[in-house]
Amino acid sequence: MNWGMLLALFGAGLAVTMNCFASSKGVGMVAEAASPVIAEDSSKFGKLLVLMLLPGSQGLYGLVISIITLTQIGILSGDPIPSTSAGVVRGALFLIACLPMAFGGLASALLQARVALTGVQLISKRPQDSGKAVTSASLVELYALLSLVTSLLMVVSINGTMSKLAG
Amino acid sequence: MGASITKYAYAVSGAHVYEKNFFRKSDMDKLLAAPSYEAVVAILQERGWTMPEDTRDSGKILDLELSRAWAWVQLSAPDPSIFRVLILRNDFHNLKAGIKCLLSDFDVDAQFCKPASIDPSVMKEAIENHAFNQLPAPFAELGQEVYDLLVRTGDGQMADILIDRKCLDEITKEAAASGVDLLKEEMEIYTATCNIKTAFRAIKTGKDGAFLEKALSTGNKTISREKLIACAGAEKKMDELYAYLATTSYSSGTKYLSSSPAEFEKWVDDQMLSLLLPTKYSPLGPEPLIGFYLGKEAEIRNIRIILAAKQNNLPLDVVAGRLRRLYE
Repeated sequence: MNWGMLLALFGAGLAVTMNCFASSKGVGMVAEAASPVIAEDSSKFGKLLVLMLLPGSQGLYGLVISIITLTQIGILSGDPIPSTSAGVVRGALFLIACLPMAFGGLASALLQARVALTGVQLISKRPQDSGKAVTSASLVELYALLSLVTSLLMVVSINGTMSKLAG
Repeated sequence: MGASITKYAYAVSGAHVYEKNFFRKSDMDKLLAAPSYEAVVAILQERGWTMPEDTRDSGKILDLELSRAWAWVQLSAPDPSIFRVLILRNDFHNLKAGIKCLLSDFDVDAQFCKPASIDPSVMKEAIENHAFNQLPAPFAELGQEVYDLLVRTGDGQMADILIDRKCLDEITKEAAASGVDLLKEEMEIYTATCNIKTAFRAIKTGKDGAFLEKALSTGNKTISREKLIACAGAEKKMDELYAYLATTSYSSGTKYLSSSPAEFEKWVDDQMLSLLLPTKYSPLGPEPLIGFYLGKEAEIRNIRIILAAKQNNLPLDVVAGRLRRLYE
């Protein structure tokens, strides 16, 4: 059993699954809340669409981390992590590197959806304030981006660091 | 974010959209200033209210509108059963009205309250056929008991006590079972103030503690049933009652009890409504739907007062003083 590869794949899967779960729940909730508003006044659809899309970005970030991890562990290039004790450590490091995106994305997508929900109600009552609603929901995006950057830096630097340590 | 409250996204958003059409204070002023009953009905019609064939029947207009709001709650809520407690008193009223009308040959249809969880036609059929077992618990057993009591003794007051107490007990039980804090708090105020009114009237009419033992409901946290009963047994009953109420959270409203029961009712309604106001901005959960329905009830209550005033040519200043706080 190649434990190193298993751990790394688990990390890549976690990053994409947790983010896609949270994003789909978030987008679904905001879209559900938007539908009575659109039914009342379909001209608000454009303003509401931005709010509906915002919690979806975490799913994409998770996918990015997952693809880069798969590239780094050699599953796409055909040069996988070796089944050695050093390989297990490398795999574990990739798993750890995926965690900030997995959990940061999960939490931020769900909380962003909640802010977007209040934004839907704001647009329903005061369509002229749609900019404020979008800005408020975008503030939560910052923390998804921080998670993305952290995971990205960790994932791309593991192979180089391990080589230097081995050398 | 709890999993269950996220199911309310559609319902809450829809309720907030619906609420935009609620009457505000300025709209109530317009209704008050309308020259006649017909003018008020015309304004209601302009606001999209569905009208019955006979617009002279204000009860039907209001029942239709409240039933529409209730239908929305039932249609959109992920778990409609927890909201049943909001209309439970209508079912008990319908049971009481149905049995009394049957025994006194009055037209029962005009007495039924809507919305109700038991279809009034089902209630009517069960009562007319004396087939109370067609009704769900606790109405089957209670209906039979009250019917037998009225046939045997004709004691209308005891029949009222049995039904009203069971109603309050069930409301407390269902509110607790709902697990929704707002519902528990709202129903606590409702049932506790009903007990206060019962105790006040009983003491005023010289009833003793044994009467209150039968009449007062159980399960209140903000008022002590035992202390209310003890007041009826005291030497200076009314003074004891006021002294006790002054120690409760209802102390600021009890000053209205002696001057005007209608003022006390208004105070209770306003207290209940003020608890709802924070839910106006909640994006999820059952609370905004509770606020929506009780807010609609407050609006209907005010319009009922205005329509009655227009039909009876009552002075505007008296009517304005009776209007309740709105969900705005």
